Amino acid sequence: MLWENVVLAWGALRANLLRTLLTLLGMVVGVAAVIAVVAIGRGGQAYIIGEISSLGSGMVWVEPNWSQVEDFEKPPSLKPEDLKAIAALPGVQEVSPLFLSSLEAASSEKSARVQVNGVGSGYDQVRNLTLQEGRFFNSGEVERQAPVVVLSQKVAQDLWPKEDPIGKTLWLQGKAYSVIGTLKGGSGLQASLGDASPKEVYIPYSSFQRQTGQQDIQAVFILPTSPSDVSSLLQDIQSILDARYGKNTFSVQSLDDILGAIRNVTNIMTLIVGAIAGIALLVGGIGIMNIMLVSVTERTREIGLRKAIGARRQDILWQFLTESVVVSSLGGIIGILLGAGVVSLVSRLTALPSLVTVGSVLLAFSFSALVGIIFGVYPAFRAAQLDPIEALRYE
Amino acid sequence: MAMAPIVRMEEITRIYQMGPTQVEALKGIDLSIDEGEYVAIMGPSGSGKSTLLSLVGCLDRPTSGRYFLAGQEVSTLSDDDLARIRNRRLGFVFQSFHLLPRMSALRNVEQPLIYARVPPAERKRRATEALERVNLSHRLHHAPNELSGGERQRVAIARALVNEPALLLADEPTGNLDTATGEEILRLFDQLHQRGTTILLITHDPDVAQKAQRVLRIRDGILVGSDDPEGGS
Repeated sequence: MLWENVVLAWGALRANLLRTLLTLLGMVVGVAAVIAVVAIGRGGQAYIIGEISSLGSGMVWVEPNWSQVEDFEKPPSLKPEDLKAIAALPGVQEVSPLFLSSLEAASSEKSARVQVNGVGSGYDQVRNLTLQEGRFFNSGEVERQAPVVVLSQKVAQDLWPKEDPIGKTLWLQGKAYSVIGTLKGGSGLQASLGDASPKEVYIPYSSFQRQTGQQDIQAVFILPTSPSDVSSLLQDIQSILDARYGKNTFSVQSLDDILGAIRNVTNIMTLIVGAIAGIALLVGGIGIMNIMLVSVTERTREIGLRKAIGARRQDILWQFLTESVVVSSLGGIIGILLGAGVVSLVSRLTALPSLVTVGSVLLAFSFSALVGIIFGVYPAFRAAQLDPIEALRYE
Repeated sequence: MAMAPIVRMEEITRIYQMGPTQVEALKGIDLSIDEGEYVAIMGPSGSGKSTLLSLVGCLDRPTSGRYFLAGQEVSTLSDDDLARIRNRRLGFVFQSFHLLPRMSALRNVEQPLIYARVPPAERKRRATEALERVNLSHRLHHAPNELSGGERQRVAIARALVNEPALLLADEPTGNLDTATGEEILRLFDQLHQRGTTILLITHDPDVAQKAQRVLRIRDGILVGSDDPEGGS
């Protein structure tokens, strides 16, 4: 019976081809908009999250709780013992302090102002830095305040435009450091910054302390052994620091917190735009209802005859309901294809990954079928309620 | 040879409520049609013959009275049960054919069998047989607009017969046909009657009515029964 109804529906829809196509168009536009908006939203989210994760996935850091700092000239600082205590916690793989200063750097031929990072030996792992050439400094070099430096790609290119900088000497404010490694340039967001990408060099924090005299540790970066137990690690670190310096003097944050916040924001954005696209679906549904009502009126005689030869109310109801569901699902299928096409075009033209998932396709399809049912019920009900005698006489 | 009557109506009335006024379309009909009979009901428009046809055809229920179709009391059945009765026991032939325009003759004839839940292969076989009975085996796959008026009515008759109904109901079956084609359809009714089909024909035309075995007249909602097809008022 269902198959009979689908065959009937197909015949009826083909008989009014132009009308059917125009009705379909409403659904197609709605479904395509939903598919495209959701996929592009998800793609954008995945892109941003990917970018941020590349800064050091699962990374945790400690800094003064700036909202409670009274004297910005003298923010609270951590001691080396605190670093040791954090390093001794379960679930900690690497701990590195971070000192920052902007200094004048020079090769034998060129000079530039660079951001100097005084860090520990595990910092490359903590921040997910990948080496282009050479190596990062080790704990022994940190221990003995070795004058070694790792360059960002930008600094390497600016100061040694023609040569390989490895083994050369970099002068930082008059003190000689030997270059032992260069980093790969960032990808995506960082790469797109071009000339504005950061001019950074990395030296052992012990060397930094000796050169600048700066002793106060204001930022610490921690790499957990596994990203899953970050939340308990956050609590452990927070309670150590709370016990030593007072509640919330220092704040402990993870990249996951930030990612979660971004996820929330982009989810809400996708939801809002998706809802607007959903209105297009609603309009498509109203179009289907309109056409189905016209169709019922046009086929009053057919309905009368069907009743005379034995169709029950529910048979007529199902016949017309099937018809509207066939229209809406057909519109849904075409809309999914169109939406997926738009998404793959967008992802080809931009860096956004294409994220049309099986889930979203199934959702769009069932939603369009549902629209057919919701907006088809009333016309089908009207058809089923027709009085056969009047319907047979209808001109 | 006929035992129980196919149609037995007792004191059937049908009153329509038209706003504040009541219209008494049928004022107490007693009607009995035996199996194998060919009966015509004749009357002018407004006489109540259409109302009677709707009641005999189980498209409507009487206001009062009892109606037995093939031995079953049908005046109190639900809409769904009446649909089943129409599907299994009755065959309709209309003045304007009422064929479905986008379907072949064969598909048109198959329609009642779909509602009877007959499987596709058997449906096709029985529809083909029905079309053979009305001499249309050469027109199975033609759409109604490729058929002549007489052929269309014969498709409609095949559709009415395909479920082996107890009663064939014909409402002005020759009304939309020219005289020669009308004659041809009436001859077909004769043949069907010869082979045992029970037929109730409703018409305003005495020439058509006189082809029947028995003619009843209806006027102002009352059967003024007469077995004389030629008889004046």
